[in-house]
Amino acid sequence: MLVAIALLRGAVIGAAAAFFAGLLVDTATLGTLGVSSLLLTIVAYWVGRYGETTGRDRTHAPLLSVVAATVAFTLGAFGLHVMLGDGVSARLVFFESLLPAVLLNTLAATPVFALTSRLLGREDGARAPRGVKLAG
Amino acid sequence: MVLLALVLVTISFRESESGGLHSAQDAGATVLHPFQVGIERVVRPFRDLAGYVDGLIAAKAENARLRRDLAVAQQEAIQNRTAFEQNRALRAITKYHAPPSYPDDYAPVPAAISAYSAAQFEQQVVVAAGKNAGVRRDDPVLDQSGYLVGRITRVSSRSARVALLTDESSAVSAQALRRDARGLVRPGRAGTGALLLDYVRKSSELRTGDRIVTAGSQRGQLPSDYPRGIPIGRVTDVSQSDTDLYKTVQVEPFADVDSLESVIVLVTRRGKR
Repeated sequence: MLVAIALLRGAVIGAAAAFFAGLLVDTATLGTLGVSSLLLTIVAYWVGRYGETTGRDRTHAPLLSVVAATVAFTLGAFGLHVMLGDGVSARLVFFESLLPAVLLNTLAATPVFALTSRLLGREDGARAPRGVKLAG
Repeated sequence: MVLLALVLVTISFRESESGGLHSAQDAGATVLHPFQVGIERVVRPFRDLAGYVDGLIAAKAENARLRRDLAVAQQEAIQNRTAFEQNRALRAITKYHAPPSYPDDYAPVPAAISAYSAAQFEQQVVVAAGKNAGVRRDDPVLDQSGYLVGRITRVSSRSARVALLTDESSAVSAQALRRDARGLVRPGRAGTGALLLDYVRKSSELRTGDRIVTAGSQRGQLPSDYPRGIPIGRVTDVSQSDTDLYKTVQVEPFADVDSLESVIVLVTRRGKR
């Protein structure tokens, strides 16, 4: 849903939504506060920028964004946990966790994107490119 | 926002559990608790369906193994009952002062799983029981069958975080039943759900099929968080080489940590362990 918000409403709103969603996740799971916020903010901002620029009006944009976001979030979480000194198994991340997460999120991507589009509606202004100057 | 998140991570990581940010997080977790329970109820049927299909695939082999186990268990139950009565009589005669023992000195606190970790590779779950129910940090956590699944690592007023046996941070002092073999149970190869019994002396006698329980050592400066005698798993492989200092012992846990629906937190009745 965060990917859909970022694609539909742009990088800044997407990142803000992701930040607060991350706070909720960390609070609910009693995890280290800020870890999910940090990762989701970065990922949602990137997805938002992609939606504002090259991903505009491309039908495969939601699917591609979901796959990329899932991979980025999982790898980012792995890196962050390693840096924080938590015991994390690379084998578990790369071979057991990543593929099911990508498959599940990809399956859910289309209906969730459609639902979010209906809820939020399209906002043409937000989908216009920001800070991108096309040559020629 | 990225900067703010980094600041939050830093404070959350460095601050003690009684600090302001942790207290705010605990309050937030309490507010979110009803929503967590609601979401878990929505997600549960899908998780159950996946577990059902998975269970069907393994059911036939599991059925044969359980029948064999039942025959052995019935014989052992009779022997254990006799030993238990003998032990109780001897304790009364010698006025033996024992440390808190399982299960008599522990009260069970049943709790549903209310959330799973955000990162799927973290082997941690959140249960719907916290300080209000008497749960404290480092309390042992069992599944519905009484097998060890982990320990409490964080507590808020209405929920608590559990590090499962398969989490990389887990380590449990353990021993083999009826054998002089002690060691430390740690997660085995990631993703397999298996455990390793580490630091077992080469002179110790240990065989495939031996059952491993918590050692519950109360001696020394660092007594175990777990009471003695909680079943952990069964030895599936024992090997050793000339170069290794200890035996390599693989253990299959009794508890299926991947399909937990609810758990039992053991809260000691005698105050501090």
